Amino acid sequence: MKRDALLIFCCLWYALGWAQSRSINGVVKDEHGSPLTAVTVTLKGTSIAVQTDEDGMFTINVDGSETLEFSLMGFDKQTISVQNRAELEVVLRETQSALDEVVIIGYQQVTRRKTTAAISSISGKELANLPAASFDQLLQGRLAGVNVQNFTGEPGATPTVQVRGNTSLNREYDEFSVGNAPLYVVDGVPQPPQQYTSPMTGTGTNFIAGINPQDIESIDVLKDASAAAIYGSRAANGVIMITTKKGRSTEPQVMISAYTGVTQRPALRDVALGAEERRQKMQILEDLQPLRGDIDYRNLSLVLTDSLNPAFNGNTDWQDLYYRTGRVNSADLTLSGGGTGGMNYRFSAGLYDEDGIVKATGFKRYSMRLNLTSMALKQRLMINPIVAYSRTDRARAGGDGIGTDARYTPASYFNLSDTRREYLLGMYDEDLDVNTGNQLTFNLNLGYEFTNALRFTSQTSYIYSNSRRDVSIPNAVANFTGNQQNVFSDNQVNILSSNYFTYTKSFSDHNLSAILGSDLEYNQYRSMNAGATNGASDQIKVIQGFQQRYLTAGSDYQAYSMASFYSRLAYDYDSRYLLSASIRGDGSSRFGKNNKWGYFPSVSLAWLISEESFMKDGESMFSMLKLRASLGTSGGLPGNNYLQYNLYRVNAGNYWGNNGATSYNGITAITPNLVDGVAQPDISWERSVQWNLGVDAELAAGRFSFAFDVFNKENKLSLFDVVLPVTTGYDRALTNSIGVRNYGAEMILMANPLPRRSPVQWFSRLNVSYVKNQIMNLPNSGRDLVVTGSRFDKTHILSVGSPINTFYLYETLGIFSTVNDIPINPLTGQRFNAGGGAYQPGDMYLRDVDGDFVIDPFNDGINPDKLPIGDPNPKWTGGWTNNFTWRNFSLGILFTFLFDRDVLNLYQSDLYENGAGTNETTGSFSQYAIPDLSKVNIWRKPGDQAAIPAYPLGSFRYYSVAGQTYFLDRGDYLRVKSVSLTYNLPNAMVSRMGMNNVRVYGVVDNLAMFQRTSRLPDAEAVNYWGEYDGDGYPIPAKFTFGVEFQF
Amino acid sequence: MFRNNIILFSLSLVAALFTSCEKFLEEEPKNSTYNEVFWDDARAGNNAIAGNYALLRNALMDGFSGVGNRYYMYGDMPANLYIGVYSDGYGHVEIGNGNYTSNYMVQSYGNWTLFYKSITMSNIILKEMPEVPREVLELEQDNPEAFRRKIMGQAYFLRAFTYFMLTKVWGDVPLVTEVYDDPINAPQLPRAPRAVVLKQIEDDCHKAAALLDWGYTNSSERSVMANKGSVYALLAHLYLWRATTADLGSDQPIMQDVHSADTTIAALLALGGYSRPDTTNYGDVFIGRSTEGIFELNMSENTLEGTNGHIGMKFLNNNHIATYGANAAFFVKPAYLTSHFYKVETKWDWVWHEDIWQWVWEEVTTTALDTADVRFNNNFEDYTSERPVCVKYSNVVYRNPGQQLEAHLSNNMILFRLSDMLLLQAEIALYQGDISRAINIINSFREHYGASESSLLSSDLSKDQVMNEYILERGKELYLEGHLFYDLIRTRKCFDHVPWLTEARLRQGGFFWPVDPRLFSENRHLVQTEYWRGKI
Repeated sequence: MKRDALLIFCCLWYALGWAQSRSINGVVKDEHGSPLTAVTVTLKGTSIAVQTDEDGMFTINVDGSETLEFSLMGFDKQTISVQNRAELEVVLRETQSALDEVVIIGYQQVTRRKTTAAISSISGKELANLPAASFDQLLQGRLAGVNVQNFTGEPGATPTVQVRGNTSLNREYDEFSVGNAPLYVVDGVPQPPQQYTSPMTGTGTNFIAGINPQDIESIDVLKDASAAAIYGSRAANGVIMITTKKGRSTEPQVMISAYTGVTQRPALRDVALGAEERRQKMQILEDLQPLRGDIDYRNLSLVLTDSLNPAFNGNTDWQDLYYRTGRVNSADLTLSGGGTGGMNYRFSAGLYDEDGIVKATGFKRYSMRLNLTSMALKQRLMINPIVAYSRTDRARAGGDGIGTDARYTPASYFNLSDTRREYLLGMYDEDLDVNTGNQLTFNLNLGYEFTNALRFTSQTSYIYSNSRRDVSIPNAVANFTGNQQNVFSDNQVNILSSNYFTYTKSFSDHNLSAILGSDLEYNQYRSMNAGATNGASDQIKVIQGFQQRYLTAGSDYQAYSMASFYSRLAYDYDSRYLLSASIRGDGSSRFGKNNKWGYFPSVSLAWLISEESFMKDGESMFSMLKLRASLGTSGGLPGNNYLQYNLYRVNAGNYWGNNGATSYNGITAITPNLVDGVAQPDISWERSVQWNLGVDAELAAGRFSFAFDVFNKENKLSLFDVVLPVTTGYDRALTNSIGVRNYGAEMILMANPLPRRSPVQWFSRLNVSYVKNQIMNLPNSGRDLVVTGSRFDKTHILSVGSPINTFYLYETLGIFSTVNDIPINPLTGQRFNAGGGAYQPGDMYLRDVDGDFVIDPFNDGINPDKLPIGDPNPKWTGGWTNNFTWRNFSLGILFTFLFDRDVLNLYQSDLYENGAGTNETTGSFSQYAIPDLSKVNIWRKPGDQAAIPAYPLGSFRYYSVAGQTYFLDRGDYLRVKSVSLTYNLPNAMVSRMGMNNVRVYGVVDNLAMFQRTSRLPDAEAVNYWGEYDGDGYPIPAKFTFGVEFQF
Repeated sequence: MFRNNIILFSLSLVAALFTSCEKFLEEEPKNSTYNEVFWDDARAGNNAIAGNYALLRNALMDGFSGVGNRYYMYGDMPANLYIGVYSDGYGHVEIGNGNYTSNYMVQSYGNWTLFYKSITMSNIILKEMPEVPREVLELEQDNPEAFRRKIMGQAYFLRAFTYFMLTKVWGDVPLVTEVYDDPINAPQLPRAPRAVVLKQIEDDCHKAAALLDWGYTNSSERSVMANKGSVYALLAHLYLWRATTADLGSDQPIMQDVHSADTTIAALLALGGYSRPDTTNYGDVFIGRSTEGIFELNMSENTLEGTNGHIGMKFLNNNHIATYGANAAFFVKPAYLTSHFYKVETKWDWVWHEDIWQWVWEEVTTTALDTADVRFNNNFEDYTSERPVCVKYSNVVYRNPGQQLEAHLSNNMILFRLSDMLLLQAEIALYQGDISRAINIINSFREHYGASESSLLSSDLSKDQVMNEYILERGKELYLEGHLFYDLIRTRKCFDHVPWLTEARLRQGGFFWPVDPRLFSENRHLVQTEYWRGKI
């Protein structure tokens, strides 16, 4: 189109050239002095125009008018008066306005000016060269409405990514849950979700970690339903659209970039070591002995009393065994260019290699991507194949974290025997837990232009991925029962065929755009696992030479298919009043006949006030002012492919003491799945209805801009287990039974506060999201549900009206300083007690909610002394980006923050949990490490006003009830997430080297952390449930230095 | 023109895709079988009935952490006469005190969920098996209708057996005999009166008896698959239970049920083909599949169905299992041994006579431990120690024999056996007033097992004295077989032996278990067991 126009203009220029002989030569450059290609130079007031060549040079004949206009996409327009000059040097500045940027809205793209939906976008440039294993980690703080929490520092793990809040409810606690993941769409292809493997079965590697952040051109997040509804049944949790880089039709370009750096070993926890630890333990025993009858000196462990025994007089810091300083390396090569006839290409290859700060953990990615575009049939047919391959390699050291949690870190005075060392460190060898993943993506996009208005696009995609995990457990780690070997392997095929027509036409002031299409998608997953135990040699790292009866094997097959059709109609009048409506229908194999199809409509409106004549009169400060409103429905699919079938359980012979039994009397036992296997032909789609009101504004040609959105999202008919009558034989069944509401607001402020001409430029962007959720209804008549499956003390509750996973806790009122502080039941004369055991001075004072002078120790279900207190969902999240440029230097600083979240500090509760046994055989107090008591104010004698209660020595007291408000911390934090300094070598120097651009840069990731509580080592390293137990993987600081060449 | 063709072609392509959608959108599971296809298989009945047995086995063996074995927790533990607890950490000892109120106890042993899974399976078999087409069965079964009868007969039996367990433990229980097409909207059921449940069991037994045969066509089924004999044994127990507990206010048994039990056992003995093994092989009875086994649940390592959670293992120490400690969790109460395995001795001794205010050298009779009884010899060790060991179930198999690791017990769960039936005849005789018949039966046991002649009963004993001896004989014969507590209730000998089960408590049904309070939260029709109302 443009090319045609250009041709005509050029002809015109030649034709006119004969008439007038005065010609002007010039060169157009950017601010760094690099020549700009394809700048349109127009003689003002005429249609005469030329374009600059590859060196930025142009020649134009002036005819009467002496004013030239220079324009190029992405740069501010400039008008220059020639005034008898024959040579011109023009510098164009990059624009600050985002109005002409395009955003991807699913099957189509529109300019930001014309969007009617709530969409957050970010350019790939912002993500380049930052040391992170996967791009989703980098989205943190950079996109309004997207909350990313990197709760673990383990390379290759999946962070929690939530678009507009948490909507997932679970009856059971799952340590690895990351909540509701959004749908990722890469180059128009929805990626299959990571639904078949949990961190305990497969490799556990983040399924989108195969995408090299360097290949990303832009990321657009469809937040509201009007945008996301086009992805129908999978869009309820938001859609993240990723566009990868394409070639540009220029000279061949080569870019090489590489960086290297270190990841910092975390600070170790405070522990008293060696003789000091023993002294502290003996002191606390001595202090408490008169008060605690259970402490019997005669039974004290030899470990504590025999300080001369060489086995027990060590000085071992156990944490030290597991950590190291890590490395991070990355290298990328990109070739891009084009040829005649609209052909262009881009090829990239990348390597990312991060060694974790825990021994034998790390993540490597080898990636390759080829994007070709070619035009045929007289430029009407576009052929665009994309081929990408990635391999990930992840060492996980057994995947169980480190062996030093709060409770079970061994005491320092143990000298480490070789056997013990082998046991503890046996898994910390990279060969023992090998996780590899391969992903091959092949897309073929075909576009045919029937007319300027009508276009047909056909997209075929084939994604093949496989992963494999090999775990070898050495004899010593397996308690000397022989080495063990486990293999897991899976592969997944995802085929998508997407065909749609687009129609775009303007009739005077009426602009119309429409889309109509259909998708077919098929996904097949197969896995295989095998395990062997009681092996004969640690050297054997495959399943060979194991006895038949120690072998187990299994395989699985899962498949689903989906058919969809969709349509969107967008209309605007005079680019002032905008209307867009879309509908998608999805049919899924996961549903029974009665409910196969679900329909997801949406509508949105926008009013561009700034285009109204009353705003255009005079000098308006607004280059754009837009009001938006939208309403729509999107959906969710159940994770289970075969809910409509009553699947049977084969090999159902298990019973008490024999979980592996498969048969009865040698006959394979088969029963229905009597847990949750009810056939459900009537189950229907989860639905999310969302409205959104927003305003977008841009001031002073893009120097300032802001966007503000409020939304309300209600997930209805979400799938959840209902408990069935016992007499049906089944325990529970999934039904469309819960509702969750998320509501909130988002704000983005962007500014370039310094004047345009200032030598220092400062770009600043602040985004803040607020989201709050509330459970609207629960199954079984809305009764409260205590979340099961966590530790002994159940700490979460689901309750209508409360946020998801609200903590369920005892309220701590203080510490009993003396016996007189402990209440007495006036009716019985009994002292306040917990399940029969009377409280003593130094114990926690828990609030007796039901007033019966007994703290009910009942931990499994509704407890009359517990209350729903504290919300583990983050409410305020966001980030503040700052970029400063001065000459060839640029400095970027990103802050991320989270406010208003409660964290249950299980680490704190576990620290003092090993006091129960003081005697020889069960002496956990003597066996395990304690905190450095010289640094804490712990209760030792009646009258102490202590911050920490008495050490619960000699008995199982209710001290360490994890579910109490004493352990509830504020999770607020502000993190200096990323600081980068870049220097572009001067152009002259670079040209002498025969290159286009050379830059050097340094990045510091996680430079500093400011957090409300000092009891948490890292307020971000808190899991989805808002719990921290000290067993996780610290988030390290990374320091990298890199260089990038372009030639 | 060309352009229009392309549009038409594309549109028709899209249309074609849509029409094939319905097929495209069907994905059948390949990772398991499912209801619609499972029964279309000649072998389905075999697998389903195996599943039913497995569910019953799971229900009877389940329990609270570390102990489990609820069959024995209901049947032996409450009497507090037989099992001593050295350590379990979770208060199972409270069961022996008749105190079922702790959270741990009431949430595990008070929960009947697993029994209803077994009942559901029986219901499914009874619904589906009649509908399997004959042509399908003919593919593999020589006699399709006999096969069908055999599967259904077992399903009736298993349903009856499971309900019998339920009603012995809880009294009134919900009664479900149908399969719900839509379990999600199935009704919550109230507890049905005991009498109704017992009637259902009787009816199911009669149906099962009509469908099943005596004996075994296949020796691999011996004892572990129910036959007509199993049904009769269950019926006999049912009649005696109903005779003695239908009206807890009365201690007079219902004679009609007693007679039914009598004739049932008589038929069983005449037609069942069971026989007691030679006493030298007495121990093998508890491994399983002996000639005296009437119904057992297979828990044999021969088919890798042994368990490391068997009640027998709770009594074993490192003399029997290499990885165990010196102190077993449970032990045999020494008082049980001395009171049950007694012999009467006479000897000369000085005796103080108050009336004449002097010592007299005279002959006295005392009781001593009768170590000659085969059952004593076979079942108990370390009987002089504080904590005697029960080795009745001690057929230990190591799955890792090289390192002696992964010990499993390969002892079937013995539910009904011939000696049980023979002894019940003595109880029946006593109810019928035929004391000498009862004495003969008890003496025949003592003679058979080589007990001291001094323990033989003389013919001049009263009915009550014989009943006392009957209970001792049951205690000797059926130690740790899940019967003894019910024997004590039936005969009302609990008043003598179980301190907590007073007459008042028995009249209130206070031996029934409370229901897990968690079951009430879903079911508003449910009521707590009468005795426990206000106590949980």
